Amino acid sequence: MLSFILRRLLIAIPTIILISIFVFALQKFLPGDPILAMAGEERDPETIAFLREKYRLNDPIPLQYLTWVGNALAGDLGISLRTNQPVLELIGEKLPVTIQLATMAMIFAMVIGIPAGILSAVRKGTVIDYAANVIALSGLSIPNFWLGIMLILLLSVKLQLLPASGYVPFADDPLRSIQVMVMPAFVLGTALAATLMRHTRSAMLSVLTSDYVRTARAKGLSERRVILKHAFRNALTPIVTLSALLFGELIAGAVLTEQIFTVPGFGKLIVDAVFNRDYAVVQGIVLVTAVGFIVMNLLADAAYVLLNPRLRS
Amino acid sequence: MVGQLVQNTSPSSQPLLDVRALSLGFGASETNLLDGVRYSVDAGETLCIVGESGCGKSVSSLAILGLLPKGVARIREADIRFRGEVYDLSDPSALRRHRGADIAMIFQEPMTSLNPAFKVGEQIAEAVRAHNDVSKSEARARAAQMLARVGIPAPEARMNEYPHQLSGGMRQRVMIAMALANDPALLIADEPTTALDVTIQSQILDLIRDLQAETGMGTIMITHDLGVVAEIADKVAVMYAGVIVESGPAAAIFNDPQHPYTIGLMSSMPSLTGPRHRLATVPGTVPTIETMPKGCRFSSRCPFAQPVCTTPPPERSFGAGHTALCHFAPLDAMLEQSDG
Repeated sequence: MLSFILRRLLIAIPTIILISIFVFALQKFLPGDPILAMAGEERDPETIAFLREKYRLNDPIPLQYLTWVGNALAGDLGISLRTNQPVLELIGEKLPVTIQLATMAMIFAMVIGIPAGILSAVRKGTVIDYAANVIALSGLSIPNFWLGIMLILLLSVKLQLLPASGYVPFADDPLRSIQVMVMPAFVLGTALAATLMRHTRSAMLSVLTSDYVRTARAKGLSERRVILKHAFRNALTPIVTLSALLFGELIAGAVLTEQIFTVPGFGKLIVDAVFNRDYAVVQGIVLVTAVGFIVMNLLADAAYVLLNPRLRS
Repeated sequence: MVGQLVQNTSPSSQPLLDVRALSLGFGASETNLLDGVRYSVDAGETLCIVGESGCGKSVSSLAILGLLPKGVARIREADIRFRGEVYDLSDPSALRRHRGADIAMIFQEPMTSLNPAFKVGEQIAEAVRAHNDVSKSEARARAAQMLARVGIPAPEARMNEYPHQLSGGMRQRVMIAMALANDPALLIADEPTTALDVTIQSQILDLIRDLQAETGMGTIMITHDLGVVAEIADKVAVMYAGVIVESGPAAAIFNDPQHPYTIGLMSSMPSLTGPRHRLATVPGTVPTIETMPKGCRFSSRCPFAQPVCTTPPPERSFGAGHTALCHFAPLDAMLEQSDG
């Protein structure tokens, strides 16, 4: 198992290098000059020259890349051109917010999607199955922003049950922190629940007709045990793999939902950075989310091996 | 455990399992998939159900255990006695209490019949705990004991292995250990050796026979392999297109078959001692539900078919429990005609 993880980590290295080159190159080809943006209205040539020298923008591009990578490895992702804060510090502030949001959304998705998928597979072709599929389809087709706005109108404005926006760090006041984040997490979670439900359903359907499920029944086990132990255990592999990938996506892509609920997470940081041509921040975020994605992939692979005795030896 | 089992077996006057009538059909179709299937097996006895693939052999035994996939076929008639008591196919929880406790089943595909995600010891212990109020360690001890009993060396070590670490023959032994863990009165074996190498086949048959002698359980062996039947059957039921066309003591079926289909089956078996001749086949294929002939279901392939065969054939008896469903049985007169 350990050697498997090490091997996968080695494979991840070229991937990360490729991503870093891509991220770096993308920045260079984007229109707009950050230095001009920084220099302000006057565009004093001396200031511009000074800034170019300061940010080493006159170096050959490969050297700029190597400098950037070297610094990144040392934990220095540069300084935000706008706020003069170290990028790593900015990311360190926002990442916990996004991770909390993603975790809560994932919990919603799993708690709704997996049981619904199992139920609709077991009751295939019945009213329950059709109802679950219709709900899943609606979950997939309702846009997040619309659901978010509706929830705010209903639960915050009309019923005044939950705060409409904001953020309280989990460490400061866990209960309040969860309350504030319930709505955005739910909005993100519902769409994923639908995806999870469909995958759980098809995975369960394929194992429910297998010979070993018939054997489990032939032993006289209760139907509950047959389904939740013998069938579900074997359907788990695609479900866990998918969940890990969805979690990776959540970290990178909660932009819209974070905007609606003004959650100060990664999504907001990346939007602000792009609009302000804050290169260092954009680069840092893309790099961190890419690495996060690779880590989630690695975890999915590890889970795959853990769940399959055949692959363990 | 053996002593306990002998006490449990039914008095000799009653068969252990007595299927008096079992009919099964799809949806609104008038033609039954299984039509009036009947057979019985006594404690300590081996009944072989033989027939071509698709004739309904497996379906009938899966139906008895309530293991047919839901919503596909419906049971239309079921009159079954187990140990002299009514055996109700419409009561799922009663069926579940029988399954793996007093009626156990093993299947054709040992490669896929064990759950790949769990250790074999755990899978056997689970069968024990499903029907007995025992601790996990007691169930594990029983599992190890069963593995030893089915001839698996180093059972304690094998307990912790996963199915993929075992060969096909070993897996079928594990399946047998699992099936017999609760000392069933009846074992249903659905083509248990078909997927195995020939040398392993006879080992598994020997094992089943030894265990049967040891425990006194009744056995229903479903097979299309007449070699297997000749080796182990006390009684034979020949099934064709969902109907038991002939049944009786094994010797009678082999030496004095009465139904044209049985005669065809027997002449398709090669003989080492008799004169050499081309192996006979039964021409044609088993009819489907849509093409099922009226009356005798074999009439579409029967060399002796007459107009009367479109009416339901009568059951003719030849003594010692030997019966055949045919208008013209005994066929001696007809066979002489066709020889001449």
